[in-house]
Amino acid sequence: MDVLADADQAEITALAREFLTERLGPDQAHAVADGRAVVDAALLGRAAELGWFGLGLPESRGGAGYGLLEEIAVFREIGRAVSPGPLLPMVLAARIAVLGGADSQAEGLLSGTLRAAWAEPVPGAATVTAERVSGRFASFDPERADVLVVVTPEVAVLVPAPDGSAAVPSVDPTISTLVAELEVAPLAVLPADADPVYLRGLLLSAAALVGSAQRTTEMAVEHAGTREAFGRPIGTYQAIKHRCADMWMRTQAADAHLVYAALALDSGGKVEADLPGLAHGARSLAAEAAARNGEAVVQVHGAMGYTWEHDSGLHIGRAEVLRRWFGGPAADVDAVLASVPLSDPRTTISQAGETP
Amino acid sequence: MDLAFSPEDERFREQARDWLATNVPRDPRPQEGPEMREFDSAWQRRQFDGGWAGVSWPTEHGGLGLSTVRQLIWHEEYARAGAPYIGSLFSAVNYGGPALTIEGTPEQQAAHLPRILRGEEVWSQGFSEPEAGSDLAGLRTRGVVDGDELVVTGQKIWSSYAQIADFHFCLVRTDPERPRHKGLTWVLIDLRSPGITVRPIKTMARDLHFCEVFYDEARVPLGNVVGGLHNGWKVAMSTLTLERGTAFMADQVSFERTVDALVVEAASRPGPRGTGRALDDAGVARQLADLKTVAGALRSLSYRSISTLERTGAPGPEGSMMRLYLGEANQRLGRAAMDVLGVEGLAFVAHWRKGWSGHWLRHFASTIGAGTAEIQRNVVGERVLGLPR
Repeated sequence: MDVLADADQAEITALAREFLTERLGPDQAHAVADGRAVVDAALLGRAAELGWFGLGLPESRGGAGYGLLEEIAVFREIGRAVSPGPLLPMVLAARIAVLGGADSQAEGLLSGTLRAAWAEPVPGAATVTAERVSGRFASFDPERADVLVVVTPEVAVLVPAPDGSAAVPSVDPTISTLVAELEVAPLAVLPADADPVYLRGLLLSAAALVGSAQRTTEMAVEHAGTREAFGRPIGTYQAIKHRCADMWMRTQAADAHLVYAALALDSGGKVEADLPGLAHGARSLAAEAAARNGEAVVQVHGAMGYTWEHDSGLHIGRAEVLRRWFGGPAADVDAVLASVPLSDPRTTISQAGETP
Repeated sequence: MDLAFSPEDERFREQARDWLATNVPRDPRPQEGPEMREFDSAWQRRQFDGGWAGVSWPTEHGGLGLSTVRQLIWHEEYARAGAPYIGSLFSAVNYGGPALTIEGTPEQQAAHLPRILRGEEVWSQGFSEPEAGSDLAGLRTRGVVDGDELVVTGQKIWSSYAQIADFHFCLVRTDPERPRHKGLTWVLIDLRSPGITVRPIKTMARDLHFCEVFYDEARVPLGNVVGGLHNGWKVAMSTLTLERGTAFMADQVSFERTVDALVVEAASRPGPRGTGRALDDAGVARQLADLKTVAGALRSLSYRSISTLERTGAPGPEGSMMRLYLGEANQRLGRAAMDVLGVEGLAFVAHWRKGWSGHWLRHFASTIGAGTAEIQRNVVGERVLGLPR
């Protein structure tokens, strides 16, 4: 048992950070938000060259042959950098196409020439089966997309992207959104019993949320240590110091649980665990950490944190979009409570909970 | 990176599970007084005789000399088996003894550690004073060297189980001329020495959990000073790091069982509007899902801190976070339990197997004991994040 990053993972993290800082970081996110730039095919091609879209796929199928933990290392960095562009949909679409045997889409997605966008079913208003995708969906960045990715706990599919030109800017200024009806047959299908793509995607979204929470903690701590008020750094005041401590603590808990859930999922059933409960639990902690840290980083920075130029708004918008995917907070509550063994008599005999 | 335990670890787990299945006492643990001490000591002795006491303690002190990973496995199986809370032995077994393995002399270790593991010695902590709590270095209890003795005069407070303890490990001021942190000494005091008066204090949870201890020229052999005269602050910090870092490992592991029990409770009771199950109420479900997730996160954090400990050899200041995280989670659990039980759950019930109100009240202490939540956040802010003091 060892849950700390190994040398390979540390290197992947460093490489991802280097690429993102230069090509797909907060500067580019601001440029996209201002309409001065777009994440184009060339940029997706660069990410594809780094092997990102097939990082967790076997080498024999055109992937890099890494595990879920390496993908998580990359997505943590993507979250830290608030990278614009459909990186999570691309990774999941490539997985669905490759493992679902949709070869023509697989090649385009792995090389970044085919573009994927996320479509989230509106709860109670959408139906997704291997044969048909119908009802209301919220799609994200659909304008230039070739395929939409739809992932549910039962099945993951790719469908041809309809006209997305009516999309409007979302609360994340780098991402557009469109709520619309779909009625279409899938191009590619990957059932959950063939691959846990839903749970993998859920954890990758959690990784991006954790990365965001890490970054906003750093931003707050840095500001608190240098900005002075009443003749002292504001980080000397407990109102600020304790807020920073809470930011760090939430992030640590979310990250530790994310790694635990990912290792359990990656063990292929060797580690006894309720995987949906674990993965949704990890996502809910990550979503809370990112959202609460977003509030805190604005407060620590004061009015400066409320400006369009500051990174706070990017992190806040991104967290609010990402946490609504994969069924949102309600799905977390349901999956987590379903993991409690209601009939287990052992749960009633422990004598824990006394205060020493 | 690997979540799986080695085959040797798994064998250890099976052996622990087998032993616990037939040896865990089934009588409820007495909540107070000499009966409580007798119960706690007998159960500790049974673990010692079975070869299970002090899993990660060095073998020369009577422990098993195994890794922290094995210690974790033991705690996991202990919780799974529903074994009793360690109670009055917490301070000696979970962090006082371990502090002595680091800071004590061979003579001190030989005199106390085997007795602690056999359940023969109960320790209580004497750090706080009426005028020095969070600001620990402001303590005033004096220790004056007189020949080969330290003469102690002053008052300690909030000492858990001092009324039934044998030893009080205290921080006393031995040199008032030096700067506040540099004139303190960590000393182990026999509570039966003349000049000591112990007065239990009743808590809002209605038990006599902690005490005031008055010192009136109590004479303590200098041989009971741990870590050297005037070096007490360093020993105290090492003690507190252990208390905040690893002492609560068992509580972290068992928290999940407590949450599970509350979920079972919520599944068997009507909801707050009298319709459906309490578990189906959106507010209750949200609270319980949060607690279940936090319980999982506590395990994940334990795994992370043990992985770090195995690599670096010492717990770090991030233990303050674990203590805080667990303490606040236990408070939320208490509140959620009161919501689940509603108007039918307002009777005061001390023992948690029979109700939840005692649990709710007891955990008001969880953000004060072992350092207040405010102090823990200061430690995280300053020692982990590097914010200015």
